[in-house]
Amino acid sequence: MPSEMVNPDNSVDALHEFIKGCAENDRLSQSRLYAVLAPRLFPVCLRYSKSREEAEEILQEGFMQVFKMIHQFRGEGAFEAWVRRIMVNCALQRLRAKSTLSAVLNLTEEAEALPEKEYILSQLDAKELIGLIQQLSPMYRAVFNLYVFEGYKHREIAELLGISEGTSKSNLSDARTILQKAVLRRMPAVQLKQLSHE
Amino acid sequence: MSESLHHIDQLFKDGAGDYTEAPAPANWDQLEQKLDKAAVADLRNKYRYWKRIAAAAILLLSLSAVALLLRQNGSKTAPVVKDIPHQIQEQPAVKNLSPQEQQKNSDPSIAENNRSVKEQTATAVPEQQSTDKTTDKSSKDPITNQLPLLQADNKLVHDETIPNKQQKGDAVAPGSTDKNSGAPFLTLSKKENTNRKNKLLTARKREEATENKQIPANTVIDEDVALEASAAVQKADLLEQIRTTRLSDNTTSGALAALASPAGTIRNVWKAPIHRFSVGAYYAPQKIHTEVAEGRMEHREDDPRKIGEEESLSKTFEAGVQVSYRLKSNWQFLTGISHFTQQSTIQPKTVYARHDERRGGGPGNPPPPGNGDLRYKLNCAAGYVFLDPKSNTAINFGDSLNTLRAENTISYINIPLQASYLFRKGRLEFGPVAGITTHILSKAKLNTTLQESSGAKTPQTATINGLKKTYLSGMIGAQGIYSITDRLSVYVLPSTSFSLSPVNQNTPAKMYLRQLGVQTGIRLNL
Repeated sequence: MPSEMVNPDNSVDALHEFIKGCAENDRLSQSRLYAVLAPRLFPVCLRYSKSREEAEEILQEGFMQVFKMIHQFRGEGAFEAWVRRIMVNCALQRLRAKSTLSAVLNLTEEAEALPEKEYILSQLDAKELIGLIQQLSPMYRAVFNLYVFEGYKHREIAELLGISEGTSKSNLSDARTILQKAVLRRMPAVQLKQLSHE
Repeated sequence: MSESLHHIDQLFKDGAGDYTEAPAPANWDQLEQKLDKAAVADLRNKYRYWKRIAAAAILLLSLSAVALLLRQNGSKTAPVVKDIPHQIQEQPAVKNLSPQEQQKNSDPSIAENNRSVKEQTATAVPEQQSTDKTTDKSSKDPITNQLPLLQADNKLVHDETIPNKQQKGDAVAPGSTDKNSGAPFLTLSKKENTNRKNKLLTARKREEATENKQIPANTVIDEDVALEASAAVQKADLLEQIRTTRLSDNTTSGALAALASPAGTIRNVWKAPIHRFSVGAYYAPQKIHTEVAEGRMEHREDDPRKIGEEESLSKTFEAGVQVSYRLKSNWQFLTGISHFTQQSTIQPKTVYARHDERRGGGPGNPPPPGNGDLRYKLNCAAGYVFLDPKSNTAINFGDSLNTLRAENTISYINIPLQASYLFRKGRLEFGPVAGITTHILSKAKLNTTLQESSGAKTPQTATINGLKKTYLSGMIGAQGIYSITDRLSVYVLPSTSFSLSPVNQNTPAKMYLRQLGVQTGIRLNL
């Protein structure tokens, strides 16, 4: 990674300069923009993928698209949101290509109630939470991410993933149940860990 | 449980929503390599199109060069009027003949034939002198050069149809055969030609001799032969005159007509007179290929590939009038005006409620009350349209409806400016054409039916947004013109044209038009 990426300038003016440079295929601007945005977008890619390697591939594909289409960005709205949308699209395209979207379970079993959010968050860090999402099946992962993190409606999710609206709702419910159980499974372990430290 | 489920949504959103983590440093290196590869690929793609154009141009030029070469070769072998001097130069005199050929000339049978010919013409020219001069003259005299090519039916034939020996002035005995092929040298009609030729030669010599006052006192002149010879001499003079003036004006046609008419001795030398101006009408069936590239992508339905796949061209039509101006040289300039229409069919698709920026939302342009700027957006390769449902249901951003099959109609007024270089061969003219065309948008409508949430089907007609008002295209082709009469000609112009830029802007899909058409029309020369 180039040395100029170590201290990226996050100011709006600098970002505009980077965008302008990227539109002219300036490699230095591209590297600086990457340095600014990659740390924020890489977790997004992680959430949509099964592994870190896959997430890095999505990130590369996403940035390739960003650099290719950056001249189309008209400066309306947040640039980061625009880039994020491209990343999500890349991730979904990858999912579609794998054709594993239809393999889903239909869970009817309900999980137990969760402890307080603050308590859980004090016990589980973001990396662990993302790890839990990664353990979901591709379909559940996609539906959960689109609904919870991107704020899409079930109708839009259904359109994006080529499924019915009902399936989208059902998959979200299943994903929540799986995650809830996974969180609960982690709780005692964390507590035990804490106790052993004490 | 429901609370717990929403609780877990919030848990993950708060816990992982703002999480940041840098990828491995090697990730940038890999990305950089991909960027380099993509840059090379882009460069290739960029020039691929121009390479095709260059290849087509080179092919066209090569074909033109070959056509020109063939034409020149043809003029050497076929004694078309203006090429007679070349014929003269290329015909070797008897003094250049090989010893074997000279020996053949002294063949008794040939001499016998010459003698019989001379008897027919009742000439008083000494026999030996006549033979020598005949041989020599045939290589220099344009008329005699032409004569072997005239058959009994007075049609022009190529030199190749006659054995070389005869071209070189050998007298051939009737019924004799080629030693190599064994085929008879002359048919009966050719034999007649030979006799006629000798008659003319003799008469010509008489004329020359008369001018020089060298006619022997005992010469008997055959009146018919003399008249025929005189006509031939006039024709030769006329031909020479035409050659020197290079067929450049209307008098040429008259001269040529006069040349062809008296005895009908020369045909196929008629050439269309050159008229400076001509007007015509044409119709051009076309095969259109639309190339769709990535444009302004804002929403998921803005995928240009999908937009292109959902659309198919149903029909095209182009007709117009053409005006051409001809220089004295072979250059011709063409312009005119035409009307072009193309219709495409779009498969049923889902449309989403999006903001219509033209209805407000921008600075100094507030949106109308309520959700007035939210409309259903339908994309097509040419651009996009906004559709309004009849029902008063509130529209939210992202709401979707379905449309039935849609049809768009796009019309342009085209003004071409083309240059052509023409080669002439009798009534036919042909040559390459290249030029540019200005396309002025005259109509861009889309018809579809919106299937509303209530189940009602509402027909919709909307103007396609995003198309440029004008765009330029380049064209290359070749035209062939056939003159039916002095005033009337028909032509055919196969060509390929290509838009020099996308025909639309600020649209999800950039559309480039590639056309392959054959313009066929009729011209009236003024």
